[in-house]
Amino acid sequence: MFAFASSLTPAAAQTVSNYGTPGLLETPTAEMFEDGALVFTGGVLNHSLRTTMTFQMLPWVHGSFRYGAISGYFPGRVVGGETLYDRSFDVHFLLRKESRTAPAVTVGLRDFGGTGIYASEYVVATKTFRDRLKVTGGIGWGRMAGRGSFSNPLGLFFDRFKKRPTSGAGGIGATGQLDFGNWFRGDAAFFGGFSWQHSDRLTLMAEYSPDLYSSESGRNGFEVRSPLNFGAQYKFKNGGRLTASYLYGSTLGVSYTYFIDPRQSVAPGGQGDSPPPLLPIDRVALASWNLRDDPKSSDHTKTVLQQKLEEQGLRLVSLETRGTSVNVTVENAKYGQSAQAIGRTARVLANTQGAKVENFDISLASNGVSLSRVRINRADLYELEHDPDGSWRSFARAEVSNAIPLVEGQLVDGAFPNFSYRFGPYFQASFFDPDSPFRFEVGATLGVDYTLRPGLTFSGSLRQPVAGNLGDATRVSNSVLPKVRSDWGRYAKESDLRIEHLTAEHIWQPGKDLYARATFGYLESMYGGLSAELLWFPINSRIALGGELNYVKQRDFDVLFGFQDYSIATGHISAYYDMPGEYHAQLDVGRYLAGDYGATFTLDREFNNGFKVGAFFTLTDVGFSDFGEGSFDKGIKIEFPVSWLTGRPSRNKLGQVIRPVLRDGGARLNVRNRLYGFTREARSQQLAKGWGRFLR
Amino acid sequence: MKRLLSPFVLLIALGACGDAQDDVALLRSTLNPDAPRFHPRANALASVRPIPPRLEVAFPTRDLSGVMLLETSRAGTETWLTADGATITLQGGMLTSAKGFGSGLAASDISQSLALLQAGRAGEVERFHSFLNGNDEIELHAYRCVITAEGREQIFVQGLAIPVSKMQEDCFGADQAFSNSYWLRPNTNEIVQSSQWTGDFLGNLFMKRVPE
Repeated sequence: MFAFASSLTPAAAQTVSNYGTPGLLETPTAEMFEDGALVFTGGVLNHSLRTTMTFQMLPWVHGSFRYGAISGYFPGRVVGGETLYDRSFDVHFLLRKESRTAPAVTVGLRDFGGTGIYASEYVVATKTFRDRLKVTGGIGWGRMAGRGSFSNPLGLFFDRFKKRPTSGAGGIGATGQLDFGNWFRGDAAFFGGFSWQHSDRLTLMAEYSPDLYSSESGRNGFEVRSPLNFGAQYKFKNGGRLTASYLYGSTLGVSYTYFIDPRQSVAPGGQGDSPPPLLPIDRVALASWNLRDDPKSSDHTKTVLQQKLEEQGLRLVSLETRGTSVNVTVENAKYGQSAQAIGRTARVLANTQGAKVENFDISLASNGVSLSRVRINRADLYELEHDPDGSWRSFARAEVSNAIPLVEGQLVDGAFPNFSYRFGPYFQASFFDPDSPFRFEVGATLGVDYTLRPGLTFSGSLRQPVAGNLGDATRVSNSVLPKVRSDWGRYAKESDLRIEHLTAEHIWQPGKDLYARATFGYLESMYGGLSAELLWFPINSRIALGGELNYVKQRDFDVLFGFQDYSIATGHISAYYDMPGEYHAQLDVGRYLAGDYGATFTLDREFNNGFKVGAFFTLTDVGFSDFGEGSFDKGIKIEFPVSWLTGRPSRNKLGQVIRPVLRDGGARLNVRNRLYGFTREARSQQLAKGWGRFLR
Repeated sequence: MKRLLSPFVLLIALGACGDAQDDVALLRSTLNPDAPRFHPRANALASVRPIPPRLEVAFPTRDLSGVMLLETSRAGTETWLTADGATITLQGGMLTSAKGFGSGLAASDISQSLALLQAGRAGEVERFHSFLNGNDEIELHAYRCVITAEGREQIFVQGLAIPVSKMQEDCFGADQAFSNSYWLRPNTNEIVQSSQWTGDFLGNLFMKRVPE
């Protein structure tokens, strides 16, 4: 019965090729990964190493970023060595799903930008028979049009398809642009193969690959003797797959694939402490602090409240009782989801406030800036504490509204000034430098924040590098633009103890739905100056609009107090759209650090638990050739909450931006606490997404 | 309760950019995952006299066992606390939630099962569980269960043999199946000992009431 049920669920890609996409050994199949899957593959054969990250962005689209190395590609080359390092992007679209009678069909663009070493396009079909046998066949262009190639059938319709222009004809300056002029052009060839799922763990594969490795064989002597490849893939308990293969009649290949499902955290409900259970209301009423009649009683209640909130990792900032409502503001230093902080606050209030209090108005604040207010009815809490649908029902009954700025009279004694610090390790990485594809630096960092009064914060952080090779980069920036970012190697080399930032920052609410920020000082490791921002963000809105103006000066390479000569006025108009269905789009239009004008488009897939995978690109009025290698700024980023990894509550996130190359065009200032990120966690959309943790 | 991670994840894991106090805690818990943690609420409860009612519990799948103390009882639901701050809730001895263990059992409706057990009767019932999943969403699951009487047995409570009647509950839902066992005191049908499902993550929780 259950086996029957599970066989109906669509099978996620059974096998992964050594290009890190659904496939056999070297050829693709028409399968897709599970929606949202993040798939890492390392594959090696003969002189070629390929590491690929593939993300199933939509149920019918996946995209890949690949970093490959081909040794001996430049025999005898002295400068830069004999190895070719190559970055490439793929994108695959599922054209039709597999049905009972017809195969799945996918179109793929491999290495559609980049230097084109793996450039190929294909249409591929895969059909499953009896759950175990998968037969795949397809037609490929570009690199795949090797053995047995024939004149392009598309040439029947348009003559221009018959010939494929040389890829990357514009030289290195042209890489990074879409080679769409080449797609599906030139000769074509067939490929295909099958996989047989021997058991839950073991799958056997055989394929016909037309790839002749023609550009490699002339250089590093790799020999393709046969188009037939054979292999076996073993699936581990953790879902990882190890493939061993015999390829092209001449070499062995091996690859390993690891799957991450962003929706699966290390422990589903988390291993943090459970919330305090609600006490019977008569027991709360009889608690010592609620019994006293003397005027000190309210002070005592406040102290108890403060202490019990502190146990939950929450800081009480303001407290006011008005009739049957109690209005509190708390700062959440513990929970990744604001909804959980609100839930904990509500429980503490229910367990401390006298019986006449019927409503809790809970405001969340950060650095003394109110972000939103949620009204919880006390009776609802008792009713829904153990309700199977309690989370959703409590959200339906809660009222989320704009936060009211904190007023002096309501502040809890001692709430301000507030001092906090952080101390710990840091890690910084650089990728894809041809001399050393992976550079890093580790060290210790100390950060301090001093919030003088609500909204006004003095903040600083120091970094002391301890080890690494980030500063060993010998390549000198060849940028023809002002070197606004490309001197990062000099910053690493010529600095020791660094002042990462040292700022005075004021954030306030100038009007309904508005937040404003002014920051002055050393804004980031490379720039200092003045930054001002305004954000319009209605409490229930999916859309927010903002504007930012900065006047900044480039800091000295020692990252201490001095400045260089370069200064610039930069700023952007930004639009943010929290799209239905886990997507988030951002558009920034304005002037970048090098004085270039343009726009950055960012699209993220955001999972409910805070895991994000995104991509961005920036086009400015700097020409592709002036920009240099890569043609324009682009990259991908992954960010996930620490709690996803540890199962324990935390507000920290880990993230990495992967840029093929960091240059000077389309470079934006990295000022801290941009208002959208600062306020968003407690606005309605995010509260709703995290409400599953309200009763946690 | 840890899961294998690829080197890549560890790599970006080190690329911390947040609150460093937490990074230190993360590092420490990675290096020494078994360090004991005592929760303030557990400390407070342990100092209450007379000693609150106790429950012996164990997760056979994880080789974990310990004692829980009754923290609060409200509207027919008891909340029991472990030393490190995790709780379970019981209604009439039947498990309705488990928080802080890593399983996400958020709440349950077990009223039909409970009615049959308390009547000491076999039969067919429905039960409902809600789980907090790894993506911070609540999932509601419904199960069909068959309760059968397994006859008389003897169990040992603090070295004393007591006669009990055993009941078994076999449940299946859309993509899950599990079995619970209950050992009831004859006549009163009060649950003395039980093994109840907490979800896929941790499997069954075994529990036994420690007599006052």
